[in-house]
Amino acid sequence: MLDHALESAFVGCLQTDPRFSGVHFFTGHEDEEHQLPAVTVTSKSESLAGSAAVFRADVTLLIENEAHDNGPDDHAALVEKVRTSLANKAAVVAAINAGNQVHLYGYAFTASSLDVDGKRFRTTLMFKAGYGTP
Amino acid sequence: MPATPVDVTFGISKHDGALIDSVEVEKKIEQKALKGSDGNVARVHVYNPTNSGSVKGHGTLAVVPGVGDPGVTGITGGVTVITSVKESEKNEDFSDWEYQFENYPNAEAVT
Repeated sequence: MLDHALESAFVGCLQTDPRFSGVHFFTGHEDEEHQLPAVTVTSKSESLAGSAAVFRADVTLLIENEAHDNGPDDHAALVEKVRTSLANKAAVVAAINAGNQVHLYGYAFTASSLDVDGKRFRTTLMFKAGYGTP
Repeated sequence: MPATPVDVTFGISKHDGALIDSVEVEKKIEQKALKGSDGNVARVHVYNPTNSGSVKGHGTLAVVPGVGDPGVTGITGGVTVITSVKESEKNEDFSDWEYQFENYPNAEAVT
């Protein structure tokens, strides 16, 4: 449940950015029709020191473009938009905390990877986040 | 060999903090043994009991080095010295802290 709240909070924060007009956002726990271009946020949390209020989360952002209608430059541009949007940590943390779904303490990128098949470009951004109940 | 019932605990019970990772307590005592004429230890005297330990956790920390209270259940009486306090921050994890203490149950503090 808290994982979903964190995912929804990140999705809500990114969706408000006008640069993502036309991009579909999904969370990992929703059964929605998956339309591209898409950004899917999933997270997996563990409790900090056995606490019921503070958690560490491994968050994954899956950024996808359809390969038929998009070139690699389009995909790279979308990935760059996501990176740029999340680079301003203070603003993202403030925006998410203002939503009162979770209280985000901070986050840090840990890895990224690119995957291409015949149908889509797919970049995965992974980061660790510390958050708690609001 | 039949299993012996043992009362185990799980989690932190010796410290009231909300985000404590671990608590360690070691109780020590010194001894003086006197060997008898046949080479076996014949007399033993124990003295100077001391307790030492450490606490690791996250969040607000009020403990400072010096004479103080380690906040650990069972560590009372005498003088307790917080010997070190270490605070850490990481780029992809919560900040944390650790402090160590020595307790001398038969001592009194000198200012």
